[in-house]
Amino acid sequence: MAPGVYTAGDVEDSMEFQEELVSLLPRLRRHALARVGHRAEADDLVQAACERALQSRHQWNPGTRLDAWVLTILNHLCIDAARRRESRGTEAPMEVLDEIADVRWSKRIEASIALEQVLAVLQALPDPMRAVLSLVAIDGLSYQEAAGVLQVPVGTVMSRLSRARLELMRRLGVGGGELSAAMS
Amino acid sequence: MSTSTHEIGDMELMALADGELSEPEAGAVRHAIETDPRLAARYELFVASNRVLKQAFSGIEQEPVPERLLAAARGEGRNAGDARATDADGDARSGSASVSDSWAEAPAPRAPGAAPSPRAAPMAAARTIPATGGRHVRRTTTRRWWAAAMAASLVAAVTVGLLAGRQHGSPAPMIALHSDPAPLQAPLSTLRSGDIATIDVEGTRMQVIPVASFEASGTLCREFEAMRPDGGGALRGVACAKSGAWTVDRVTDLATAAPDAPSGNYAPAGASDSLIAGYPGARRLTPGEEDAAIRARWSR
Repeated sequence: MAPGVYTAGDVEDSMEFQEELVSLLPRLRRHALARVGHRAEADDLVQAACERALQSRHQWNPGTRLDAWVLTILNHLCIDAARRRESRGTEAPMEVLDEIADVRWSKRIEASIALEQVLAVLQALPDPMRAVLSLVAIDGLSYQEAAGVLQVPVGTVMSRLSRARLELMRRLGVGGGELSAAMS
Repeated sequence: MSTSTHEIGDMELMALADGELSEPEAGAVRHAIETDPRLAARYELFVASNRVLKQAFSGIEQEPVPERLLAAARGEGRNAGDARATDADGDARSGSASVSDSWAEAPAPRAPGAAPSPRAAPMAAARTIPATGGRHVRRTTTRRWWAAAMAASLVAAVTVGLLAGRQHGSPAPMIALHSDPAPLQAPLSTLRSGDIATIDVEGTRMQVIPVASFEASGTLCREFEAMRPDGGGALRGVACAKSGAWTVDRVTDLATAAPDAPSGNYAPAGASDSLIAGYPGARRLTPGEEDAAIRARWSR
């Protein structure tokens, strides 16, 4: 198919598109949940993303990754949601990444960390950090894939990601004091 | 690529944990980790952060998807009896409305010359991954498709954004890279787009990532990003292979430090724009063509 040309009336293609969208729903829900922290709000965003994706279906080029394209749409919605929330003043301020709590890491502590706990910590991070954590650490995208979804340079993805991970672990209380001393 | 002499930092450790490093870079970092307990502990922190997140979210994908989302994905409108969906409409619609503006500025990926794709395949592969440890497997099946999609989105996005006046950290290594591209030779010759290498530019450690390959006026060129791991500076550039060596053709400064400001400033739109738009008639190489070019050492 020529680039950018959508052959209208291709019903089969449309059905295929919708079914692929359906197959992406679990990943989209997971991404939105990591971004906004509440299930109902996350599902609202996923619903809006699906509606937007269907409306803009002709803008997607078959032969490219549909998951990345829909994630890009969802990302815009999540950014808007974060801004609305920020304007309501409910987002916790980002603390300076200083010393890491002196709690020694153990698999036992790690295994006891529940989703709710992680969600709470994620909500305390700036949204761009949640975005990279969700795309790379949870969804398994490469740095370059995440950069494409977020429309930022790969270097930006990397610097956000490393800070986000260390901050996440600090807030979960699972980084040893020696670790921070070693690398500061 | 010299990897043995410099200090291993967070970027290398994280990139190794994420499977983003290619050899010999990965081996060098692994070796450093094996011989330095402090590095090993730090590396474990990155690996553990992946485990924590994957584990915490592992149940979400298995949950039944709410009916209203299935309906939305199939374009079947809303379930009239679903009070939850009705309540949510206001919010969802406002999100949808506000995204339409930003979405218009960032058109969907289009892919002139993109590889023909069995569309469902990458996603099917992604769904089969185990919660942990499947990362590399999935990557190998998907990232090459992505390269085409990425390239395409950059083509669509474009206005060439020369971020005039933006300076982060010392610009000296950037200028050095422009006038003496020797440190770029190996990474540009050997890396696939998306892979990362560390180079030394006049004593400053920088990471280089080729992001795309293209042909313009019969010359093979690569767009790349280079950045200081401390966030002290980043650039996007284009280098072209001439007589078996890479010459830096153009460079633009990127704002890497700014986006990490606490309350979520986003990189300027120009920061993600490709420089390839500045090459009339440029044709992006497919992943297969890029592999062939790497094997042929970029000679025609």
